[in-house]
Amino acid sequence: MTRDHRGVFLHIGLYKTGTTYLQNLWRANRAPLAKQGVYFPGGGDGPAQIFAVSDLFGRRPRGGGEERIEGRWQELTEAVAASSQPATLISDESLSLATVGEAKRAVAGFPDHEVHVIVTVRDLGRVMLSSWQQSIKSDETWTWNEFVAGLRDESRRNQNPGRAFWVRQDLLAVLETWRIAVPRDQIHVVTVPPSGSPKDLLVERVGKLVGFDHTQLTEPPSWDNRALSTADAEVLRRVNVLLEHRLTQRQHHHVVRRILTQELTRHGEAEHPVLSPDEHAWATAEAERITTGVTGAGYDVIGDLGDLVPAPAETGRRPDEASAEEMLDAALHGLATLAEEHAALWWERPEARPGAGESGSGQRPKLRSRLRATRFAIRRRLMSMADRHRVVAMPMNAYVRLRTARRRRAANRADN
Amino acid sequence: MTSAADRHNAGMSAPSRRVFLHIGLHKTGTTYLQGVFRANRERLADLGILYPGGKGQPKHTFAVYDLFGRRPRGSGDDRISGQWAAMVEVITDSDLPMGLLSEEATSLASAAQARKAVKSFEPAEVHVVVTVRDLGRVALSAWQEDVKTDATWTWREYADALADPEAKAKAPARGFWLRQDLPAILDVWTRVVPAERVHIVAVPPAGSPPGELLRRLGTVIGFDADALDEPDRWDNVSVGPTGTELLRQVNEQLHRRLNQRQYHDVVETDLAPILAGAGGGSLRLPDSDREWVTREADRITEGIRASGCPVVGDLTDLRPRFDDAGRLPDEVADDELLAAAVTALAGLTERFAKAKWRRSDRDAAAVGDAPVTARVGSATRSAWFRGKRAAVNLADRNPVAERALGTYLRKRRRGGR
Repeated sequence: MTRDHRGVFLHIGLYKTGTTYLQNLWRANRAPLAKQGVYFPGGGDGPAQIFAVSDLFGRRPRGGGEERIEGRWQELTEAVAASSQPATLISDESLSLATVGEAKRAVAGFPDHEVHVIVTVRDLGRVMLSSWQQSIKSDETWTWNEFVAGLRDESRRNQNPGRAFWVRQDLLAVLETWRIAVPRDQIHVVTVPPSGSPKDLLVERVGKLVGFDHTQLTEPPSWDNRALSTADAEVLRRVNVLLEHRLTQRQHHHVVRRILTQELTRHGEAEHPVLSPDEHAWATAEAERITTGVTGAGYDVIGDLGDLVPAPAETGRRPDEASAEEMLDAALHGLATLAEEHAALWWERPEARPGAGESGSGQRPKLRSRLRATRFAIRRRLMSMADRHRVVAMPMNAYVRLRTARRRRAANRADN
Repeated sequence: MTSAADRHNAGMSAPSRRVFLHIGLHKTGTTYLQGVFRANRERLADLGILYPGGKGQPKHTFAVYDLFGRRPRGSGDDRISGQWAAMVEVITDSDLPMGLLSEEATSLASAAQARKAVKSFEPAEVHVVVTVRDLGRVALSAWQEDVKTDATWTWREYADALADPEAKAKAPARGFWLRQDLPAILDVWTRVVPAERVHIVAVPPAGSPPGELLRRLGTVIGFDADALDEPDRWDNVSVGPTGTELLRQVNEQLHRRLNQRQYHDVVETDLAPILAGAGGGSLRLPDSDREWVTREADRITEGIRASGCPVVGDLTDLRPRFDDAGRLPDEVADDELLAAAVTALAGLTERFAKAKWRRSDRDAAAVGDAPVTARVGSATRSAWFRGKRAAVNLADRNPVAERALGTYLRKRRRGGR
């Protein structure tokens, strides 16, 4: 095998292992990466990785936008071939969903490069919690208990939520798929350090593999995927129940994920809900099955495979334990947010604006009419000030009395 | 006896035209009455009564706003200029002997504004019609209306302010008494038209036969209420006790971040109809409000007697009632409120998403510069992907498809697609 010294590193997930954080960090630090010989495609005129991978799979966004996808995979591979950097980093967790054929096609896209596959993996308990929230953000309606029951029931693995979860989280199957497409020693399993570890430990591990010094990536990521509070999650779940899937994927994504979720997570505090002892025992057994498989197959492991085993249950709430009061607070916050967004939308709409002057009357009544308008506006300003400032309130009381007296006088004059 | 038309034809010497100004009060069924008038414009005309409005005609609300110099908050609305002059012209140029203007904001007129209003119609004979309702019910519905227009005070705060003579110059009491201090309002209008032309119409209490208010009004203006049709939909959207409390809390969250018009668009047009379905029945007065409501209602009744204005209906109809069915304003449980909040959130999510979607159609800007070979490969993969997605959705509903999918999922890891 002729070995080119150039390498392509495909970071293929898994889902819910901090991929959003990593991708946003790399997006923000293209220049420091390039300086260290690492090409991270995209940005400006560059090919968007997410569209390229969608194109590789033939995936199109539901409800429009096809044109942005078509031809993007070829564009990406050509850009990588043309790049003079020794290393290329591509990160998209949906690559973990590849079939053998798709994995082979992905690798074949880089004939001049040695392709390495990086798989980040994380505590299975946290992944379960985070996957449930993710499914709620994506218009699903199952409760936490229904979700877990679905994952655990072997006979329902072909049905959601079990199918969607295990397609993404069956690490042994993912590794097996990619092993067919690249040699075993070019597959690297990187564990996500347990919560409480330094935040940059994961990127440090990936950096060593790809060949960059993570301390040079000084630009902070534009945003991070924050967890919902238990109350937020339950409110959104109930909203989904009422919506009965009447929104398209894109509509739901825009309103629920981009607006509501963002605002709610900014407003609320991050929470770390805990598994029940029974759920914990099951997740531990599953994690051990996976780590045994990884060790047995002899993949390169960076970090500690023990990190996959759920940490012992700390004190904390169950994922579906929220009071009516907290949920009401979350719902009200969501309502106010949407009301504001909606109002802004109304306001932009030309047809919602009042019609331009349609009155056929002459100049004089209009002029007088404007004068009255000015007086009225000033009075209203004063009154609302009087409600807030005592200093203004005193003359306002006097004004109200004066107005009454003036009215009486005028009335008396009219009588005579 | 001469008919109205004969009197009209008799010439300018006698005031042959009569103009009825229905000036409110607020929350006395004015929206309902105006709905009836609008729906019966032609029938009223047959009876000799002009109720202006419709295409190209001045609007009652705008005309009165123009008389006062008032403009809606937060908009550069220019539909109002000149509307009062136009309204007067339409009524005084009409062949019909009677004109009817109905706008509850007219009750806010100062003495000068009232005089200007009456003078505008000279030499016509101006009659003022005032609909009046039980003060307790009016207070409850005025509070609900305030909440529907961005207020955050609770019923207790609101009622305490109304009860306090010291608080009359401040919101919310100022706004309420400006609209509901009937003796002061009669004081304005009885000086600009003779008392016998200021007609008090008592709103019948709940449980009276339907159409009774309209019948009472008909005896003043001179129409047969039975000859008019009820409009299909007439009421303000009523949001009920739960919806009101929810809106109040939404208002607290919004902190007046929306201007008046934006707020109206979202709350009246979108949220109120969603909340109307939340139910919860009607409100009743707490016993703790008995003292001040009774005191103020007595003062109003006394003011009517002293004014010498004719009364249609019975003054006892205006006596506040404390035995009504319904819920106390602060009697809303957290779980009901939560259910309403989630319903409202889902409803608004849907309305917003669908409005936004219409606007975003053009976001999908064409790229179309990919080479043909790339596009062909891309199109094939797309068709395959769609087929898989459809199959997977089918499997969630259909056991046969589910078994087939199971086989596929086992095989896909071992090669091929």
